[in-house]
Amino acid sequence: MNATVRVFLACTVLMTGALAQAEARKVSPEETAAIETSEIWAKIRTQLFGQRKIDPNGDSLIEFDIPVRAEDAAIVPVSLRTRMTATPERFVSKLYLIIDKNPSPISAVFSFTPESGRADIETRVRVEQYTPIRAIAELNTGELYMVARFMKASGGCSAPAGKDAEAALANLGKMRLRVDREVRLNEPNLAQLMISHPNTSGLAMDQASRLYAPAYYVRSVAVSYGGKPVFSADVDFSISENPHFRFYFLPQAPGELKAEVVDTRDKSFVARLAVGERSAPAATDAR
Amino acid sequence: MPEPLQVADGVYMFLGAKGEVDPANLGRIGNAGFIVGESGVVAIDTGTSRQHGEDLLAAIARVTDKPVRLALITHTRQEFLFGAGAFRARGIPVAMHRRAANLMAARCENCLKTLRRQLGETAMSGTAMFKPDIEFEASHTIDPIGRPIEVLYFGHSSGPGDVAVLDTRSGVFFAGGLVDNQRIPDVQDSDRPAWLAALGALPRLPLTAIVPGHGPAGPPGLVDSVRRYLTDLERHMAELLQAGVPLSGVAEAAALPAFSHWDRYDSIHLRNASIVYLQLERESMFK
Repeated sequence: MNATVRVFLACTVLMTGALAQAEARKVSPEETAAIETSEIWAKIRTQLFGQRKIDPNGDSLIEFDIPVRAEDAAIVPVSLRTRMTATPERFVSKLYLIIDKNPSPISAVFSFTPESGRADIETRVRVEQYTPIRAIAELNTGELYMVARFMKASGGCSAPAGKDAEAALANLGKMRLRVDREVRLNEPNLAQLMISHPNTSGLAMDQASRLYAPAYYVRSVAVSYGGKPVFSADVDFSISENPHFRFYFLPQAPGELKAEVVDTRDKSFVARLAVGERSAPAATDAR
Repeated sequence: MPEPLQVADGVYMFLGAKGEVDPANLGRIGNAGFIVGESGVVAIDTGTSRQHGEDLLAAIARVTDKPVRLALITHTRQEFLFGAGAFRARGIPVAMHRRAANLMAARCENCLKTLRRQLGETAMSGTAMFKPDIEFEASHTIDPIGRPIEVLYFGHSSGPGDVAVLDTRSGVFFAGGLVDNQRIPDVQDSDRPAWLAALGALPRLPLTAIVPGHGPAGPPGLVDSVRRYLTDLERHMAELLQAGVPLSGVAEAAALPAFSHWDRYDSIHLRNASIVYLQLERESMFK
């Protein structure tokens, strides 16, 4: 690392709040070129959206935060917040997360409803190499908006030691749904879903044994409240080990928050959380 | 050329450079040392590259003409490992804990690739992966040089297979991964409760000085500053988790001002924060 970069990094750590985030969004000309000329994106764009128009300046609609510097390329936090009040007439129905250079670039497709209250999501992803990373918001009206960033993260020496596969499988499918604060009716409430799952890609080789752990990952998450869908995700191994989702739901009456998760061996797992009018922070495990 | 610093009669250390690996410091950011006995020398840690190992051997030869009988590697970090080839080429056996050797086999091929990219072929020429000549499991006393040396294993503490070396004649303690001085310790491979327990046990040993893995030698009280850091880090991350701060907000909220003057605060500390946050979050799932 050269001195300039080091000074830059040192400075960004000293900065706080909005300033640091603004700095994180600065994109160099090379990075802009990588984002705009990506052949992988050209293919995915056609595959997902055909010839539909995509507004490339989605920043007015989507706040897209990725770290200035990923501390661990296997667990990179990605936060998407939409700056729009959802109404039954106009709401963000889908958020697509594309990591161009990952083995499976279409990393996640999140779906929302007016019952979500807010089409915000935070999760954690694996990033294989320096890559454009983009979020596309689709409104129920069909409008499309994109925000793109450039992610500097790659494995190298930070790759973790080979994990005890048996210990990981012993906790397979354990889940926890959590709300941090007292739930307030008729406004969006934050919920977290944690899933214990190895979420392996099938592409990581153990250097000592020269063996590949088989691909085995969560492929869908569906969360409902009072029987109505509030949040769902089609995902794959771009999501980090032990998948984690932070999302919103809009309760109009006491009810049950329920998460159903299905993995690539068609195992399904369920977690439930009773939400009362004055529910205390609570948790529940999978059935 | 590395400059040996005398710590006690017959006990020397080489002080590593501060900061991150870069072409200017040749990645030589870890300490090394050696102990001169009646009939020979025991080297402690081997440097970052084949050339670094050669330079350490040349520096030892300027202090004494007694032969180097053994090289002990204290822990699995690149700046202590990859000079081993220089020692082995002279028929000097290299010894490591079995678990440290296993971790090296599982991970360090990637570290070596990254080092080559960062430092260039010339700086890294002749540097290769290796298997230690001697692997051991438990604490034991060695005496190949007419001066008894204790190799101390505290279980999986700062890392799996991390050991420390005590020169019983002088009371100088080469702490390896267990203690850094004025430098953020790396929690990546650690079992923190066991690490804290090991640090707690050190004051019971007859120590006069500590040669840390990184940073200058100091009094036995160095142990307390590492304990304080680990304890403060865990407490702060527990607070963030409790307050509902998401992983994406950890870097910004990670500050521990008491340690901000330590080397690598802007890099290792941020990674530590994210690692401990994720560990505590995971523990919370099973409470």
